[in-house]
Amino acid sequence: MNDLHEVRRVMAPADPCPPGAFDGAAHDPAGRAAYERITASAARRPGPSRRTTFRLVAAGGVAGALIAGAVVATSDGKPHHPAPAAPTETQQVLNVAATFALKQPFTAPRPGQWVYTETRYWRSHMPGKGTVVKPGSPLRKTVDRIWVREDGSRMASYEHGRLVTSSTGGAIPPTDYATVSKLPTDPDGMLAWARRQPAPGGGNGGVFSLLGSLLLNNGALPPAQTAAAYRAMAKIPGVNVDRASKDGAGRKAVSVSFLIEGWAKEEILLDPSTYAYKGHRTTVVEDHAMPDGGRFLKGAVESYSVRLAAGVVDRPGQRP
Amino acid sequence: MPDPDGGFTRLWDAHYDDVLRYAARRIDHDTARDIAAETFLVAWRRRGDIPPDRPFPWLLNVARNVLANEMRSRRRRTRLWDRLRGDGPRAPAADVASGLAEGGRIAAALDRLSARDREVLRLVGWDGLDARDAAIATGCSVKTFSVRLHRARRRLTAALAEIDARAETDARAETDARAETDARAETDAGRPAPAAPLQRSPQA
Repeated sequence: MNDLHEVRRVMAPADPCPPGAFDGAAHDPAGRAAYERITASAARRPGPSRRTTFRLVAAGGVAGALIAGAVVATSDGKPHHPAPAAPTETQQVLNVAATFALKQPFTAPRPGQWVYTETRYWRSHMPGKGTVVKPGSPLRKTVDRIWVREDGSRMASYEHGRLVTSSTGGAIPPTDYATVSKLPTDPDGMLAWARRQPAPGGGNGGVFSLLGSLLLNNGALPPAQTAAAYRAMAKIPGVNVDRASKDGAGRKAVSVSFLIEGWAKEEILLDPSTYAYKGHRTTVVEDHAMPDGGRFLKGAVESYSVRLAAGVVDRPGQRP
Repeated sequence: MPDPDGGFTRLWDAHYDDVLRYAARRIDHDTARDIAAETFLVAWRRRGDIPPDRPFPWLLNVARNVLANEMRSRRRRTRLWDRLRGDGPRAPAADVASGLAEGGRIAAALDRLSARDREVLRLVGWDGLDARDAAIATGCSVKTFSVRLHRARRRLTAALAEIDARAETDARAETDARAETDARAETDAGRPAPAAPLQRSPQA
């Protein structure tokens, strides 16, 4: 504290740009022009956090949030029978997934190593004013190759074919091994942690999405935290499972899902034999109008992803 | 794609000026505009990654990298290195000359410190960050930053003391020299040494 005040006092006279200089620059002609250029640029997001659901929730705005509240209130308002004798289908499936996760061999990254996550995404466009995303609407396919240093200090990805390393500002949920390996390993602790995170939309949907993103964005989530995430999901009211689901390519998959805001079904997809995490899918189950006039029609796929590879490597650019 | 929830616009309104000031403290003003814009472009593309509770140090961390990239490519491309405030062989003359005498004295002291010490002092002294935010901006732990700040402050104090001592010696030498030839020496001797001698040897 003393250092702070003293340094400020000593340094102030030499500040080449004292407070007040450039005030209002955000809205002067140069500032306005920069703002327009940036917000008009493609919504490409090379960052490691792919919050597909959050994209929906954010776009849904206040109306969406209100609907979410209603759904949560309904599902929470049901009389809750404590400690049912037999576990539900959801609990069974997620319990098996957790047990399988704990049995997986896992090698933690050593200091200085990098975690590689390669994911293929299919995304619809965001319907703008007067446009519609409907079943069969074309999806844009991208492959994300992301390296995050185990301590979370750096990340690397390809931009225009070039490997670019930059520092990370952290993400929600976290995408670095140092942070995720310290998350709670018990389901209640994991659930409480997820509820504390600032999730747009909030409620049970926000918590489900957050845990889904934790699985999606972390190629080296330790078994204990993976299991805790599955078991925490099992404790969220409104989570459903479908053992006979199919992934985007028509292969069999186990689906764990939550209906976000009453119109977007968010799923995590698991391998039917190993219960390993395979990817996500967000499907429109009810026609939905966005605040700016665009619409999602029932049956449209908003996005889905398939994890292609994940593992620990020595340097960015390397594949496991 | 427009800014659906207004989050980016709020970020722009709240922090653009500060990010621009951060850049302008380290590079010429034209380039500072580019650095600020590039920083917000990264923020726009990575909106989902911005910690909602502390966006400003996150932005500065990005700005730091944008600035470092700019300097790297500049070093390769040209020798415009010395446009960088305080990080070149010597600070731009205009800074020192136009600053107050006190500013020149501190700029000279900063010149003698390592780049890391300088950056630690600037983040706290000029950009107004506390230890926690500065740690995020520099990508280290709060504890590490506090230690660095403490040491940098000590070295700044030492550099200032050294400069003051030299200024005094110079002033005295000047006085002595003039006293022999100039009868008006006494009136000049009372004034502190001007900024010029301080710039003589930044690499002590």
